[in-house]
Formats: sequence, C-alpha cells, structure tokens
Amino acid sequence: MNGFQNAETGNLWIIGYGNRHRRDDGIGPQVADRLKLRFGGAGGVNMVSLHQLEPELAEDLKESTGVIFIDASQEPLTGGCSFRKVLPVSDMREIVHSLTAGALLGLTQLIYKRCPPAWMVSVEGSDFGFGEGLSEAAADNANRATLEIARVIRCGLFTTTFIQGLPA
Amino acid sequence: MNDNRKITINPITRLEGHGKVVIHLDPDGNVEDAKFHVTQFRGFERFCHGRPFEEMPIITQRICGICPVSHQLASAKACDAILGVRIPDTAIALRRLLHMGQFIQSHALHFFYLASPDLLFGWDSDPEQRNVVGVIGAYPEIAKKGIRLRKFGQGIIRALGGKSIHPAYAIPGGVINGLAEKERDDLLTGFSPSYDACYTALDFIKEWLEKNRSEIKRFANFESLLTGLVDDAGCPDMYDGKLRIQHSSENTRVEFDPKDYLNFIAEHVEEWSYLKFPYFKEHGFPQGCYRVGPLARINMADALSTPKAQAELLTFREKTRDGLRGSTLLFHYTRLIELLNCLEAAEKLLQSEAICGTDIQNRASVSNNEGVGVIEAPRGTLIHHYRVDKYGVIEDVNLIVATGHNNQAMNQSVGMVAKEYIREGRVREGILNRIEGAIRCYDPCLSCSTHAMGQMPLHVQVYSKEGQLLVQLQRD
Repeated sequence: MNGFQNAETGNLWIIGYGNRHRRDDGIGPQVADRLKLRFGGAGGVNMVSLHQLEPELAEDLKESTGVIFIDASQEPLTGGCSFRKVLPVSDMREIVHSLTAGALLGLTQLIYKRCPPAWMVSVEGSDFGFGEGLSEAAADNANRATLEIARVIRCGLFTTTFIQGLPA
Repeated sequence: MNDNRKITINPITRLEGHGKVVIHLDPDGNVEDAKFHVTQFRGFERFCHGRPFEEMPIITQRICGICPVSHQLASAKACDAILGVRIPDTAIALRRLLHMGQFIQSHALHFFYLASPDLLFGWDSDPEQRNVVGVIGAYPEIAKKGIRLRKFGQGIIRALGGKSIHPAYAIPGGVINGLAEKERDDLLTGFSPSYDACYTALDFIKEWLEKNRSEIKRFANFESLLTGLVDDAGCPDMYDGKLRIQHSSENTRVEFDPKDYLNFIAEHVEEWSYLKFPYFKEHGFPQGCYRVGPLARINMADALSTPKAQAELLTFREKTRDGLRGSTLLFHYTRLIELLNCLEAAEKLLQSEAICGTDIQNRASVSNNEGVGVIEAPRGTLIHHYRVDKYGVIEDVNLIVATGHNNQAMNQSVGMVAKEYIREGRVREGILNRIEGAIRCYDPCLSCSTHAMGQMPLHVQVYSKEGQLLVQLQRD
C-alpha cells in the first residue's frame, strides 16, 4: 500500500455521491465508504461520501492532483461499471440545484483558473426505489468498482503526468 | 380580467422553492393588485400522523434541503417537551453550535449566491450576467470568499452531524455524539478567513447603502409588527428565550413563553395560495401580520450578544436613522450583521469548556402529551407543535415556518414595489426583477412553508379561451 504515498500521488480526491435512501442511488457513497475503510487516514487521498455535489467542493479541488467521481447509473454497463474522462463544462447554465461533475469542474476552472484531471466511475444499479441498501446486482458491481479504484490508488497509478488503467 | 392587463412572473428566480407573482393592472395601466402565489404543496402536518414522536427530528428536517438543521432543532425541542426533560449543558452547547453552522452557511448562501447579483450589477443589468456565474466572472475574489464562508458553516454541521444536508444529530433528550478536541481545534482555525469574508460583505453593503439611499427609502418601506426570540437582555437568541412581538414604531410590545404561542398567534387562509398567513391575534388579520427574520430581529433588538456584531448594530442604526429601517432591502444589511453575530457565537461556543463534554443525552419516557419547540431559523421564527397519545404516537402536528410568518409582508412588499415602479402599463425587465427582488429579500423557503393538507379551501375556476366561465369547483 505504498504506491499512493509517493510524491506523485499528491492530492487525490475520491468523491462518491448519491441518495442512500433510494437504494442503488447510494452506490457512489457506499463505494467511497469502502475505500475509506481501506485507505482512510493515509496521506494524499481524500475520500468523500456525499448526498450531492456542492459548489463548495471547488475550493478543495482547486489544489487537487486528480478527482475520481463515483455515481450510480441507470443504464446497463458492460461489466457493471464504466470509467470515462470528465471534462469541465463551460456552459454555466448547468449550475442549478443539482450540480453535475462537469459543472463542478467548470466552476473550479472559472473561479480558480485551474481544474484537475477527472474521471467518472459509473456503477450500474437496478433498483432506485425508496429504501436503504444496495440490490444484490448493484452490490456486486460496487465491489468490482471498489477493487478497481483501490488498485489504481494502491499501485500509485494516479499521477499528474500519466494515468495507467484509466482512460486517457 | 383582461389578460392584457395581467403581468405574471413565473417562476420567481434565485430563491428556494416555487412561487409566482400575478399583477393586475387597472385600465390606465397602473397597478390595481399584486399577489404572491405559493404553488407548492407538501403535506408534512398530515402524513406524520401515526409516527412515533422520536422520528420527527429525522422526518421534519426533510422538509428542506437548505435549512434542515432548523427543523431538526425545533423538532427536537418539541420532543424534549414531550419527554419533560432538560437536556445536559453540553448537548445545549452542541445544538447551539450546529445551529450557528446552519446560520453561517444559509446567510452566506443567500448573500453571495442569490442576492449579490442584483446588488453588484444593479436591478436593470443584463439578466445573462446578473447571476452567480456573473459574480464569479466579474468579482472572483468576492465569489471565493462566499464559497469559503459557506463551506465553513457546512463544515461545522458536518463535524457534528456527519453530513451537511439532513445531518442526524439532535434527538429527543440531547444529541447523538459529542465533539472531539481535534475536531474542535480544526474548526477554530476557520474563523479568521470567515470574519474576513463577512467584513468584505459588510463593507460592500455599507457602500451600497450610501449609493442607493433614495431607492432603499422607497423600496417596500413600511412599519410593521416584528417577531422573534430574545434572551433576558433583549438580545436576539436563535435557539431559545421568550417570544417577543413588538411594533417597529408604536409602543406595542408583548413577550411570552413560546409554548403559549396559540394564545397570541393565529393563521388565516386565502384561496389563492397554499401558504397561510399567521398574525398577532390581538390586532386581528391583516393588521396583526408581522415580519420575522434578520430585519425584524435586528430592528427589535435591545442589543446584540457579541461585541463585533454589537458595534455593527450601532453603525447600522446610525446609518439608517432617517426613516430607512422599514425598507425591505435592508434585509440584506441586517442579514450580514447576523452572520457576524453567529460567527462570534460559534467561536465562543467552541472556546467553552462544555463543548467537548461527554454528557450529551438525558433519557426519559413520555411525560406530556404535547410539546412545542420554537427556534429562530435563518429566515425567522420556526414553530413545531406536536400532540401525542400516551404511547408517544403523533396525533396532531402544527408547523408555522418563518416564510409563512412573512407571507403578508411579502405580499405587501410585492404590491408596494409594483405600484412604485409600474406606471401606465410600462413594464421593463428591471422592474420585474425588482418585484422578484422584493421577495428575494426575505430569503423565503417555499418548500418549508407549505405543509398542510386536508383542510385547505380550494377554489378552481375554468375559463374558455373566450373568457367564459365553464365550471367552478369549491371546497371549504
């Protein structure tokens, strides 16, 4: 577990967000919780579980070396999860009640004139009804996502200059 | 009514919830009437029936995502009364600290994100720029300070309740967990930049006041009753105290135990809004309608409880002594004075010995079949009133929310601004923005304020496009 402590890991943010009271919509915070159990208290990695993305995160992200967002997906995904690059949006009309990852990055860019590289880990869910806890299928997908993100962190793969294992 | 003489602003922007304004013009194009319609409907007072009272802090905080802490605390106080307990001093301190975090983030949100576009760019500026994104672009340092200040308030809430929205913290009899010394020390490091942000805003608002005295004086400027909680020294107390109702200029003042509110406050219903109209019973409706929130609390304060805010109060009174104090626009100035007061109060709490204590809850069984919890939310006085059976099952709920208290005042403000600026049917975008701005001053939370079902007069009229009444339905 030394990889993430190297100098190049820097200041990585892992942000899982979603509504825990709508079953599989809570995938994001649950994955972040699991990562916190593995890596919590260690330097260089900040893991956050949130109900929704908030504009105030821009101040944290302004100095980060990278961000991994984790959110539930209602769409079917090969293998139950997908990884894609997220770019900052320039159309600030997306800043409404609920902020998207792209809008948060765009806000960070607008205010602080810089924006970290970012990825979205989407995890497939199937039950978005009222209630707590993940469905069986979503729990499996969440496990896969957790292991993959943990691998990225553990191996120190997350650097400012080169990312392995994640889409460029 | 001829539709050519009706102006509708729907939705109203930069406030929480959904409402609309309808302005009726007379044949000469001058304002005949204006109404602020709240179009949301929630139902909390009804669907809580049958729930165990201990659930109410968790349920009712979900009335709102901006001020969940206020509902949680008022609810917990009502539950304390049902248990018949006095909670430990550390629990009181922690609840107060949570409350201050709420005030800091809410007031920062309103000033920097919602109100500042009008104040910085002007009422008549380009709407494409007159928003928070425009503020970020043109005034980035102000935007950064606003974000930092709101983040600090949310950080206090998160340190105590685990999350900033719908935290699980205050419960009947106390709170769930204490505050560790390290967390306390971390929070104490955040005050210096927070005071800096607050003073940046205060310096701006004083400058703005001097440049806009004439408009401030004629912008929904009226005398009214004022209501809020005060301590024994007559200072606004956001968590506890006596409820005071006083007139802004006449010699009328009454103070009472908040649990006796029904002896002094009643609610009136109109068919055209889901939001009720609370009023002071002694004066009847509508004369007994009153204002709550920052303008009311600051204007009726004998003093403020912290030194920096007290100094700002004296400055405010000096600057507004020439008939400005009733102006609705001064909600913005008074909100910032309160923000400073709450920062100081939070710092004092964190420096107190009790704040890291471990005695945080008293347990008891149902002792009373009724409980009233009253606090001051950022927007004004908040009342939670529950009746339970001997097992603690909810039988009745009455919620009077800050924005509800301000309903008549908001309508009056809308009417006054419309009549001041609309003449001979000439309406431009800046005037409509001023009308929206009149409501925005109150920082209304419309999601909170609409919550009853089952006893709501409803009048529905269906007209053909030719204006012919086709069908009429009425339920009392």
